[in-house]
Order: sequence, then C-alpha cells, then structure tokens
Amino acid sequence: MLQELTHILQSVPGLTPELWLIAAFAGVIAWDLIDRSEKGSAFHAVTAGILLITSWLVIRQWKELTPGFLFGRMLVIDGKSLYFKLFVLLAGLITVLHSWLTGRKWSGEFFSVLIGLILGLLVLAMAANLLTVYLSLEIVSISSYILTAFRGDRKSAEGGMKYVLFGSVSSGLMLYGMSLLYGITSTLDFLNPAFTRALVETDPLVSGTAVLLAISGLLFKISAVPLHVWNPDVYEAAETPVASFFSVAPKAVAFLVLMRFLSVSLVDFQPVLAVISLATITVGNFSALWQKDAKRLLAYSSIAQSGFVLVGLTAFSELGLQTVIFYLGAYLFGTMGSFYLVDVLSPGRSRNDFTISGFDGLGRNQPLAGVMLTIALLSLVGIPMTVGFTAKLFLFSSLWDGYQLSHSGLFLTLFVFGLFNTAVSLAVYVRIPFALFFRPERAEGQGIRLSPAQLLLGAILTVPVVLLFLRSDWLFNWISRL
Amino acid sequence: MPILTTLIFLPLLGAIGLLCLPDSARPVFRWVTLVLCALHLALSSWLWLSFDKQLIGYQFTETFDWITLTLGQFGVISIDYALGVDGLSLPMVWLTSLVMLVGAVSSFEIKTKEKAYFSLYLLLTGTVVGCFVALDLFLFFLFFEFMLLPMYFLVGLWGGPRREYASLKFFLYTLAGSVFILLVMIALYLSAVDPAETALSVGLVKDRAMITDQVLDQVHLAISQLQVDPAQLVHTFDLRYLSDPANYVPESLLSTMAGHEIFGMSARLLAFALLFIGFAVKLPMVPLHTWLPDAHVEAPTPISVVLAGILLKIGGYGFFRIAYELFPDGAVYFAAWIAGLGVLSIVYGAFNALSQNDLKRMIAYSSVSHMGFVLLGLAALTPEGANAAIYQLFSHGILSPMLFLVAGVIYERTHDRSIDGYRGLATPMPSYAAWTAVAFFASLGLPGFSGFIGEFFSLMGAFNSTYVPVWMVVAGGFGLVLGAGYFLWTFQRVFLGKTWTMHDTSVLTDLTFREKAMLVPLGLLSLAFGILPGTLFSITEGYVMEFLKKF
Repeated sequence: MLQELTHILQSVPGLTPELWLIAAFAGVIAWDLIDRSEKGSAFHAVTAGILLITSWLVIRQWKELTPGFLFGRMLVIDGKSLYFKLFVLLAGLITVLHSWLTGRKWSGEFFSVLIGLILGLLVLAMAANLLTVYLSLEIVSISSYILTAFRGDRKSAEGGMKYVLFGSVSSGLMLYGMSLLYGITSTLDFLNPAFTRALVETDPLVSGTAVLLAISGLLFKISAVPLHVWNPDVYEAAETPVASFFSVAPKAVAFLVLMRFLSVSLVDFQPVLAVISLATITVGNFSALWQKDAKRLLAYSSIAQSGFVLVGLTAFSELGLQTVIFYLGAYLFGTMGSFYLVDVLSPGRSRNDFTISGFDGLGRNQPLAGVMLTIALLSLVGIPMTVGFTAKLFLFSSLWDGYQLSHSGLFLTLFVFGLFNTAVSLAVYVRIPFALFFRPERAEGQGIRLSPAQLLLGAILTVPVVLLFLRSDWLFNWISRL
Repeated sequence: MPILTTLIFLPLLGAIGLLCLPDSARPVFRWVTLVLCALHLALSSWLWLSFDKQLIGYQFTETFDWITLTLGQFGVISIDYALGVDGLSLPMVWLTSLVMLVGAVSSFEIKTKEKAYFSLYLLLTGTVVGCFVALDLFLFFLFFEFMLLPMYFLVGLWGGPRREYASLKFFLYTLAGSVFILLVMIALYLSAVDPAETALSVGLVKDRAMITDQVLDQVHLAISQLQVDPAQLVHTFDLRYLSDPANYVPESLLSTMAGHEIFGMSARLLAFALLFIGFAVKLPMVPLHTWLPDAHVEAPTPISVVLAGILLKIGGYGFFRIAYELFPDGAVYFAAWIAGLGVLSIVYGAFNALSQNDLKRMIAYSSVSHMGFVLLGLAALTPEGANAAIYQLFSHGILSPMLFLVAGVIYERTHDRSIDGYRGLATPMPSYAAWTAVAFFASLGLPGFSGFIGEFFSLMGAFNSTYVPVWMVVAGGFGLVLGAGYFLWTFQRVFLGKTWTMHDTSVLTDLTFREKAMLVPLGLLSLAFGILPGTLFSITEGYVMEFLKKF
C-alpha cells in the first residue's frame, strides 16, 4: 500500500505540464467570469504565454525525468511522448498566433476549451492503457466538437453536429473493440507483454477484428478512409486557425498511439493498413481535385497526407516509425503554413468564404506572402527544396526496405501508386499558386495588405520548410535518438 | 575558386540580387542578366579549355558531406554535395551557358514584370547547370525537379494565349516522369553502399586519407560475403559508386548477382525501363512528347529557345549518365526497342512537322524528330553511335535556338506564326531569309553543318550495331528525307515567290542588330562544329570509350 502511494507521489512530477494546464484552464474561465470587460487581444497573449510556459515545463521534463511508467502503468513517459507533447504545444502556439494576427475575437471560453483540447492531447501522448487512451481521446473529441461549432452560425452548428454524430459512432466502435480486447486478454494495460501474449494465442480473425475496432477511433481522428467523411465539413465549418490545429495536432498524437498500439498487437495488420493507406491517399487527392473552396481543398489534402503517413506505418520497421515522425514534422509546417497564409490572404475571410477564385491575382499584389504560400503548398506535394520532398523520400524508402525484406506485392503496389499520387497531388495544390500568380486581379482583392507581423509568422512557418530540406539531419538525428 | 560551384551559384546569387533591387532599377534587370550570362559563358569556356582530354573520369570534382543520417539497424544514409565534369557533361555545361546567353539577349523583348522574369531566368540557369554537373543522384534529382518551377512560371506568366494550359501540362507531364526516376532512385540508394565510408564505419581504416584500392577490395569482399552488419553499411547516392556493380549489397533488389524478379520481370530490367520512361518524357520521345508542342507554342521566344536548346538535353544526358551507366544490362536487353522508339520519334515527328501550319509547332515537332536520332545513336552501343548521340544533343542545342529565334522574329512583327500567312518574305527581309536558310539547311542535315554529323553518325553507328535491325536504320534515313521535306517546303512557302501577306507590309522590317547578334554566332558555330567535328569528338571520345566498356 505504502509502496503504491510512494509510486503515485513519485509520478506527480511527470504530470507537471498537465497540472499546470489544468490550473490555467480554470484560471482563464475564472478570469473571464470575474472580469466581464472587453479584453481585446489579451486572451491571445495570455494563452500564448500559458503554452510557452507549458513548453518550458516539458523541456525541463526532458532533461530531468527518467523514462518510465506513471501512475501504475496508466501513462508512459519517454522520448516519443515528450517529442509529441512539444509538437502539440508548437501547433497550439501557432494556432493562437494565427488567430491573433488575423484579428479574431473570441469569448473567453474559446481559450479555455482550446487549453482543454491541448491538455487532452498531452495526456493522449502519454497514454499507456486502453482506459487512458479512451478518456483522453474523449477530452480531445468533446473539446473539438465545441471548437467546431464555436462560430455559432448555421453552418458551423451543422459541422459541429456532424462531428458529434460521426465522432460518437467511432468512439462507440472503439469502445466495443476495447471491450473485446479486454475480454481476450483480461487486461487494459496494452504495453504489458501479457497483453501481446494473450492476443497471439487467440484466433487471428477474432484478435484482428478486435484490434481493428479498437483503432477505429484513432483512424477516425486521422481521417483515414472510410472514416474521413466528417473531415471536409468540419474543417469548412470551423474557423481556419481551429481547422489548422485539427489537421495537425490530434492527427499526430493519434499516429503516436497507433504506433504504440500496433507495435504490441502482433496481428497481421499490414495488409489492412496498406489498403487503407492507398485508399486514403487516392480518395483524398482525387476528391481535392474538384474542390472550389481552398479550405475544403486543404481538408481533402490533409486526408491524403494522412494516407502518406500511413505508408510509413504500413512498413512498420524502426525506420518506418522514424520517418512517420519526421513526416509529421514536415507536415506541421507545410499544413499550418498553408492554412495560415490562405487565411490571411483571403478576401472573404470575415464571411468564411475561401473560394479559390477569390485568390486571383493576389500573388502580384502580395508577392512575398504568395511565394510563401507556394512554398508551403509545394512542400505538401513534395517538390525538392522543401522538407516535404525529404519526408516523402524517407517514407517510401522505408516502404521499399519493407518490400526488400518481405517481397510482398501489396507493398510494391502501395510504393508505386503512392508515389504516382504525388503527381496527382501536384494538380491539386498548384491550383492555389495558379490563381495567385496567373489570374488577373480582382477588385475585392485590391485591399489586401499584410502587416509585417503577419508576414513574420508566414516566414516562421515557411523558412523551416526549406531549412529542414537543406539540413534534414538536424530533425532526423533528433528523432532517431527518441 | 571552385569553378563548378561558381557556375551554379553565380546565377542563383544573381537571381537573389535582382530581387533585392528596387523597382526603379527596371531598365538594368536585363543588362544584369546579360552580363551574368556572358560571365557564365566565359567561365565555362575557360572550363572547356582547361579540361584535360587525356584523363579518364571526372575532373574539377568537388565533394562535401551534406546530410548524414544514422538510422540504427537500417544503416547510414549519406548524401553528398558532389560535382564534377567529364567528356559528356562538359559540352552540356558549355551549351547551357551559350543558350542561356542567347536567351538573355532574346529576353530583351520581355516588357512586363521584368524583375520576376529575370530572377526566374537566372534561377533556371543555375539549376540546369547543377543538373549537368551533379555527381550525386539526390543532388541531380533536386535540380532536375526544382527546374520545373521556374519553367512553369516562365511559360505560365509570359506565354501566349493558352499558356495556363500549356504550363500545367508541362509541369504535370515532367513531374510524372520524374516520379518514375524517383521510384528507381529509392531502390538504388537502398541497394548500394559507399565502400569508402563503409570502410570507415566498420573500422577498417581510421582516416579517409588511408583508403586505398586494397581497402576498397576488402570492403567489397566483406559486403559480398554478407560480413558487414547492416547497421554499418553507408548507403550512398553517389553516381560514381552506383555505377560499380561491386558496391551493391548482394541480397538487395538491384544487385547484379541476385537476379530478383518483380512481377515476373527482372528487377534491374524493370528499373532500367522506369528510368528510361522518366527521361524519355523529358527528351521527349514519341509517344510521351505531347507536352512539348503545347509548351513551345505558348512559351515566349526566349523560353522556347531555352526549352529546346537545353532542357531537352537533360533527357538525353539522363539516358547516358543514369539509365545506361547504372544499368548496362537493361540497355543491351532493350536496345532494339529503344532504337525502334527512336525511329518512331524520327518518322512520326517528321510527318507531324510536315502537316503543321504553325511555324513554332513545326519546329517543335522537328525537335521530336531530331531527338529520335539521339535515341537511335544511343541504342546502337557503338563508338560512332554514342559519340553521335552526344554530338546530336550538342548540335540540336545550337540549331533549335536558332529555329525558335527565326520563328520569334516574324511573330514579334506580326503576332502571327502561320506558315500560310506569308509568301515571298525574301524580298522585304533578305537577311532574315538568308539566316533562316542557314538554320533550316543546317537542321535538315546539310553536310558542312553540325546537324549532318550528328544524324549521319547516328545512322552509321546504328548500321554497324549488332543490336539494331537494318530496317530501322533505313526508316531513320527516310526520316532525314522527310526532314529535308518539311524544312524546304516551309522555306519555299514563306520566303520564295511574290511577296504576299495579310498583314501590313510596313512591319516587315529586316533583322535588327540584336536579332543578328543572336542568329549569326549560332549559325557560325553550327558551321564551325560541322567543319571541325573533332573539336567536340576529341572531348567526348574518352568518355565514350569508357562508357562502352560497360557493355
């Protein structure tokens, strides 16, 4: 008994950033309740400060903490969870700055819900037990539903409702799968060798079904086909900074949990993942081809990008997992850069109207922002001189390596069709630079002027895209040490 | 001073410099570009003169470690910044400088958004040179694909009425082509290792300076007997190592020993075929050529000049440097097919050229036809054939800019390129007619001009080859006749007879000084290289001898 108590006490320092965020969550609500006056951008500044302090706490954990389990194997703290925590905090910080620089006015609840969402993601990044996975995923989901519907008009309510419906079905499926897994293995502690042993001893059909159901909630979060239908509507309904955050942070953490979970459930999931991956890339790319709205285009693009990340997961080697993490890093800058620059450049921002033809000729008016947006989009295609190229190169290298070892025709199919999809994706992404530079200017775009601060954030997001291409070893060698 | 790095970065720095100049400096943009291109040509002429023809292998090499990734059990990936020139790339580098200078003079007619235009133009120059001097496949691919961007914008922003369609088609076609190359690139570097770096990582030697041939042999032996821990293998993109079969890990898919099969086909042959398709899009080869006429017709004159003069050469260069050098077995296996596709390009391109009414389209199809000779000469795998293929690349690099400049001259005056829109232009524009005649006769293969050497030796090489059936050589020869047909017929319709045009005849002024300054040197160069083919052959010979040893 005493031993358990000391263990719990010893575990508390591992949770400092989360405890701090809980306090901040309550603090923001209380501040908003007590002081009802107009606060302007104060909330933005405070939230950014809170996130910076959290990041500092995580970095301190990196230096001081020894990797291990917390709270009786409920949570695990290791290099990967700390890396993903920083990843989420960076995405959160970018989201706040994005919202701030585009002059969005939110009531105080927005910030507390955003903090709640980030809190959920930080816990999810450490989750080592099916229970903590489910709980933190629900925190993430509920906060996301609220943020989607936050604009309060008809469309955003519709998007939020869709999200709730699809989300609850998938979390139901997930819960069902988890209960099956509990029935099979009689433990929720999935990092325990006993869990793997029990799973291997079961009929592969049963264990395979249970695993697939259990990961459906995660596949829903990364919007893998066929659990992707909510994605474009939700992104369109949500305000752009929120959509930008959705497309990066929850996905990345869901991938981390997928990696953890799949590495212990020794069922033969690779064929299923290969099919899902190829379907996700193809559906995402080809649907994006026909979009007229830049935000919907980016939504479908984020589906396709998830498919690419799944390629690395399919290969499922040490290298494959490292490239997945690298790809997510590349993806963060490319996607958040694209969302941000699309948002600041769009003449119809206040009406939530991001029609691609609205960008006509803006690149001539605002060449610097136009070039930065082009760089971010080209990184999503994977053209050299952007980190997107390096990420795709490594991703498919790991798949090829897997093919060399297994000689599986499915890997080869994914290899060939996945790479050819990059040519298709060019046709998708090039439509925005095409409008920016090749189309004659329109009257509504004349007034678009970007402030130096707005340009600076654009540069902060796009310079790493090029820099990490030139020195991909900086990020990669960090990841390989995790 | 590292000359090759300078050749790449001089234009790139120039591009950045132009971007920093204020808009009020508008009139100097073109002059800055011109001066930089002239300097570039001077530097590459110096390179040509100091090139040692006796030496085998790469010269002026520069190698720096760029990215080294340690990937645990998987080994190490090493990407180098490696440059060098040999008898194949040197003529291409010089040609790049020449064509870019001509293009810079021709770019004086650009009157809108000059800053962006000249920056992109210089950016293009740097990346094209980079493509020809890169010895690391990663670096090559970087330049190869990055080049599409400036080209896309140059065609799409300063082109003709259907520029948006043409630029997108160009971008998509060539990107799809480069995916074929990327597929093989991934398989290649994962199959091959850098023996020198591996010797270091295994601990055979302590220092790079201690690496001798003996050490390398030791490494090769250890690798072939699977004695090296995979975690210590250093995978490389360096073309110098990739072209040596001893550097391939035995169980890897592209190893010559293993004989792996993919879908019932030898993995190496498949890899060759993919590389071939990738570069054939760029060359372009029938039936992958459809982007070319569109891009040419819509591109502004200087960009057509660059596209035909240099960008197509990268396809031919890629055949030599990558597809053939790394997969000689594939080249032998597919030789008859490649020759057949070459002949198809020659004849199909020529027939298409015959039927065109747009002068630029006609020239674009003549390019397709001329590039067919490159394929034919290459497929032969004989000294004459391979030398002629390089010669044809070079000669076409001089003649096609001339042809597009000729088309540009009339287009600038009347904005009409239709062949049936003019008759008897020789009377109002005598020197224009004369220099067009030079360009046309040189291109159709009149002895004394460079075009003749390339085409004649290609056919001769193919005739002497054991790989190419004789009927193909005959069909290729028929292509020459067709070539004479469309050039002479066009010349007759446009320049001879009584002067007639539907445009105001007052605009039909003869060549300006600037136009002569471009056409005359190109015409003289073609004549010089036609009379003294040894100037170029003496450079390429050594390379070709080494190249053919692989087969």
